[in-house]
Amino acid sequence: MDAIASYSDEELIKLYRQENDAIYIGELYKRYAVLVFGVCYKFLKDQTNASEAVSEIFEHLLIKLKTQEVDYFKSWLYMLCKHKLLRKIEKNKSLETIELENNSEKFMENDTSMYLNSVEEKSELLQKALSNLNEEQRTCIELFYYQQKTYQEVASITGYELNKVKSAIQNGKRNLKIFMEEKQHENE
Amino acid sequence: MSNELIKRYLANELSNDERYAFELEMENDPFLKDAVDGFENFAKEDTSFSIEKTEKELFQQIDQKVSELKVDKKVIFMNFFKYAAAACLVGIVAFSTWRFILQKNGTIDEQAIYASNFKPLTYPDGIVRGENDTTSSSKAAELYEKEDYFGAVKMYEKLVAANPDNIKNNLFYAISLMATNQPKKAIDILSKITTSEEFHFDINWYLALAYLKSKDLQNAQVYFQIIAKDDNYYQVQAKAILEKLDGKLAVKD
Repeated sequence: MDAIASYSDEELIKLYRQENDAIYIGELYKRYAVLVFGVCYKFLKDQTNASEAVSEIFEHLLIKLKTQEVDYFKSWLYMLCKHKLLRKIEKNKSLETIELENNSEKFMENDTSMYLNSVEEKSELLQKALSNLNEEQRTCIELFYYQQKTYQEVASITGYELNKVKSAIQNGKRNLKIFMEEKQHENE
Repeated sequence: MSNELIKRYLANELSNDERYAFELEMENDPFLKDAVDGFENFAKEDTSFSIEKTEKELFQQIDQKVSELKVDKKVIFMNFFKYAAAACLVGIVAFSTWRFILQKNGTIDEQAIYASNFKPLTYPDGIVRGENDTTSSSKAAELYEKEDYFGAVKMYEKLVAANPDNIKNNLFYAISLMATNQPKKAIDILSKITTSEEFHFDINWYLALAYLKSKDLQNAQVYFQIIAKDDNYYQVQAKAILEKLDGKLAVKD
C-alpha cells in the first residue's frame, strides 16, 4: 500500500476510474482532508458539523470523480468545498440570513485573491492603485508584500489587531484588483 | 503544504522567515488560508485542539468509509450470488414441483391407463395343456388360468430357464410377472422376443404396458406405436393410450 502514496493526484483519479476502488480516492482525500476540515470549521463553526461535511464531501468526490474531468485537483476540491458549504449553510435554517451573506462574501474575497498572484513588482499602475487604497489597507499591504513582514509584525508595527491586518490585506488586494482592472479596461 | 508545517505555524514554532513564507503562501492559496482560519478559530474554541488529533480522526473516518465501500462491494457481490443462488433454488424448487406434479399426474395416468388396459392374456384355446408340453408346462398353464400368477411365475421361470426359445412360455411368464407387479422383470423377458412373429402383437402390447407400469413412457410409446400402426387386436387401445400419453413424454426417469 506504500506505493499508493507515490502516485500523483491525477494518477490516483485515473486509477480510481480504472479499478473503481475507493482506496485511491481515500489516499487522495487524505492529502487534503485536514485543509477541508479547516475550511468546513471556518464556515460551519462546529466540529461535528465540520466532520460531517468532510465525510459528505468525500462521498461526493467518490461519485464526481468517476466522470468529472479535473485538471488541478486541489483547486477543484476547494471550489467543491465552497459549493457544498454554501448549500449546507443555505439549508441550515437556524442560521441567520445575514450570516449566510457574510459567508458568501468571504468566499468571494478568496476567489478574488486567487486571481491576484503577486503585487511584488510596483508597476506604475500598481503604484496608482496602492495610492488609491485607504491608509489602513495601503500600510498593511506595503508592510506585508514589500517589507515582507509577518501578520504579527504588521500588527505590532501598525498597532492593529491581527484579524484587522488580515482583513486589511484581503480587502486591499481586492480593491487593487478592481482598480487595476478598471484602468486596464479604460485603456482598451 | 504539509500538515506538519500548518501545525508548526499554529504552534508558533516557525522562524520569522518561515512564518512569512507560510503567510505569503496563504495569501496565494485561499484554500490554505481558509483552513488555517478554521484551525485558529477551532483552537480558540477548544484548547485541546491539535492538527495531529484532527488528522488522525479524519484519516480514520476516511479509512472507515473506504472499508465500508469495500464491504458494500463485497456485500453487493455476495448478494448477487446469494440472490442468484436463491433464484436458482426457487427455479429448482419450481421445476421440481412442476416435475413432481407432472410426474405425479403421469403416474396417476400411467397406473390408470395400465389398470384399465392390462388384462392377462387368455390362454390360447387351441393349445391343449399337456398335449405337447411337459407336466411343468401344463401345471404352469393351469396356475395361470386359475389366476395363481405367483405360482405361474415359479413354474414359467423354470420352463423359460429350461427352454429360453419357447415364445409362448416367455410370454406367459412375462404376463404372470406383470400380474404379480413385476413389470421390470417382464420387460427383460419380453424385450428378448419382440422380433418373434408368434404372438408378435401380444408381446409388443404387454411390453408397452410393462414400460407404462414402469413409468418409462418413452419406451412405452415406442411399443404402443408399433401396435398402433398395424391392424391388430390392440390397435384401437394403443392409439387411445398414445393420445393420453401425448405431452407427458418430456418426463422420463
